[in-house]
Amino acid sequence: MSHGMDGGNCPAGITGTCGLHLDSPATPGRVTPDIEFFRNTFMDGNQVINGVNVPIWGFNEGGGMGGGGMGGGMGGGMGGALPSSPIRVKEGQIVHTHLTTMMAPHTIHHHGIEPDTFNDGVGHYSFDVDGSYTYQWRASQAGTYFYHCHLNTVLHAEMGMYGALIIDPPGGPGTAFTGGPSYDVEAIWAVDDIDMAWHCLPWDAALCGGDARLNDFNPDLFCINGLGEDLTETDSSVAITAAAGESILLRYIMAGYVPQRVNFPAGLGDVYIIAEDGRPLPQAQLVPAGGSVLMTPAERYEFLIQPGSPGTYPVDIRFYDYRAVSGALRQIGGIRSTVTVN
Amino acid sequence: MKRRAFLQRTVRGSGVLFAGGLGLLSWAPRSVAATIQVALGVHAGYAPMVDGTSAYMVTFSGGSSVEFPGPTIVCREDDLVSISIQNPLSINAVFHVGRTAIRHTVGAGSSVNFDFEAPPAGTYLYYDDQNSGVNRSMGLHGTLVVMPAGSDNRSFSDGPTFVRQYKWLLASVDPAWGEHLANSGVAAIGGIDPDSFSPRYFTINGRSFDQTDEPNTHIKGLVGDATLIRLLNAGGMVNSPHFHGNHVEIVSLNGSNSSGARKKKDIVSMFPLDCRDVLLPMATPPDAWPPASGAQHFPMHCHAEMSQTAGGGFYPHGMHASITIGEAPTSEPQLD
Repeated sequence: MSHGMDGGNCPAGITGTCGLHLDSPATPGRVTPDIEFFRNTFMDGNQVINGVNVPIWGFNEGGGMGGGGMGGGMGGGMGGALPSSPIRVKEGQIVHTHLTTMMAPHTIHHHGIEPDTFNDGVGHYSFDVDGSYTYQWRASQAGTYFYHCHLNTVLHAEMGMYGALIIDPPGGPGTAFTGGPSYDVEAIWAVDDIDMAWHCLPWDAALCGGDARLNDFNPDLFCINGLGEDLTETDSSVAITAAAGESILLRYIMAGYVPQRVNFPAGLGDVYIIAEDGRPLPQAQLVPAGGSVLMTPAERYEFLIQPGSPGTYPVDIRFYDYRAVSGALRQIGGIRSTVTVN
Repeated sequence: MKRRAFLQRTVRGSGVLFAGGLGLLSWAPRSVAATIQVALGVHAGYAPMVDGTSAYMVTFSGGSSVEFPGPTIVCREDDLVSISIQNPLSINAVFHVGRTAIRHTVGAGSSVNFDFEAPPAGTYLYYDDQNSGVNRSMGLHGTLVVMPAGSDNRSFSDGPTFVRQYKWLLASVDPAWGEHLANSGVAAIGGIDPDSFSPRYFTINGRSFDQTDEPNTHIKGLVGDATLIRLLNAGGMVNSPHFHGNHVEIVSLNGSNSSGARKKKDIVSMFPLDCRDVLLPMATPPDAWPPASGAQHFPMHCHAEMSQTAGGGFYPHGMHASITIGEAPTSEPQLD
């Protein structure tokens, strides 16, 4: 391609950088931001998920203080946590995301955010960060997004290099978007699938070709905000608690690689999808009581739930093999959380 | 699509011919319906993959060897489509148009001719529906585009207007299945377990990553050139195309057209057999600061990231194509 898919500048001393464009440039048109975030990479993390010690990579906040997850990250060990700390801004703000890479090159792609090519974080169209770079962008639309590394993405995102990205309307949290519904309780779920067979590979696995079996994904561990099924029904960073009559905004980030179906129990009543992929729907879409929503990788949904009756309601998420030649989806796993209405 | 481009396409001949003295344009506005004649063959053989290997496939073809994917058929909604298929292979083949009752079998070692009235305007997958999706996943598929009568810039009569249109036919290839047929004969296709599918190559219009840098697959346009993209999933996996640069509007979902306010997405879910038409506004990237100037280059790639590999690695040599905002194409897309 004309914009540089030519194999690029592979500096001596770093092997296996096929197709990468390593750089550490200044930010074009740099201005003083309204808000800024610092993210350092780590590749030596461990997180216990449902009793399994999972090697993880990710972004921690500048200074190496470790991530806080999406309000969760309880299992985060040395290095940092899965998922990485959220980025939360207001619509209209100019944002700086300062990335400093450690141990290997990485990028940050703000998924669903549409900056110019240079700030989009896709190495094959711009550069891969070897050192540091400040991504500059302006938040044009309130909604639910996420960010992730876009270098050897198939591996780096699987290893945990992602975090939530929320844009609030100019007035701040409490309203989903300008002209949209207000909410009393907010929950953010990043729902992911993990194949432990992929978690002992180098950062540049098969980047120059060769077979690292990165086409063959068989997740055997599932998590919400990095927590396994042993915790997702009880831990307050995932399980939702609200009073009867309150409105709940559930921001659902589909962070996995295989199809997911979220099943809402009938007791929660009607659920409305008010936005998808960071864009308000032209009309809120009804998920009738007891209904479900089938999702594919990297979608985001904003669910408005207004439960009427006290009780504890299970929300079941099922995972399906991505291979479906016959069209039939084969379930390969599940995880559950709860909504408790007092 | 520009009129001249379409002429070039038909003269070049990709298996689609137009009879009856009605002119060469198959769907540009014309006062009368036409009969669209299409000659197809069924062929087995090796197709090149992006890493230099090749995979044995079975395909429909407008020529004398494998063609992956099969040729695109374009017609108008009141046209008659007249198809002849020659099948020299030792297995029956089926031509089925998804979401319709159109289904014809071509016996092993024989040929067949049949006609059908064009279905309602929209995007259709034609494919061999035998063996629970195995035949389709082996490569027996292609695209049927039905344009509305009297319009060359809408995909249905009251749909949104576009400046140009593209087709992105998604597929996934398991070369082990192909080797089984190469070694045991194509008749072994009936014994393949659809649940044994383990794809290693992932394509758009039969191409992967930098191979997509050609006029039918690399999407280009000036700012404001609304662009219709017809997405089809002929493969055997659940894909999740992700658009960088612009959200797209969902125009049609498996024949269900959206005439009013349309949902905006950066992910377009594509289950096997899905046909989804989306409108790319080709707008200046909305979150750029300072506002973007000059041509902007973005990927569209599937976010079921296994699809970004070839032969088990080689990221991102998979289901990936480019979008250039702010630069007109030097050759107009032909829907091939």
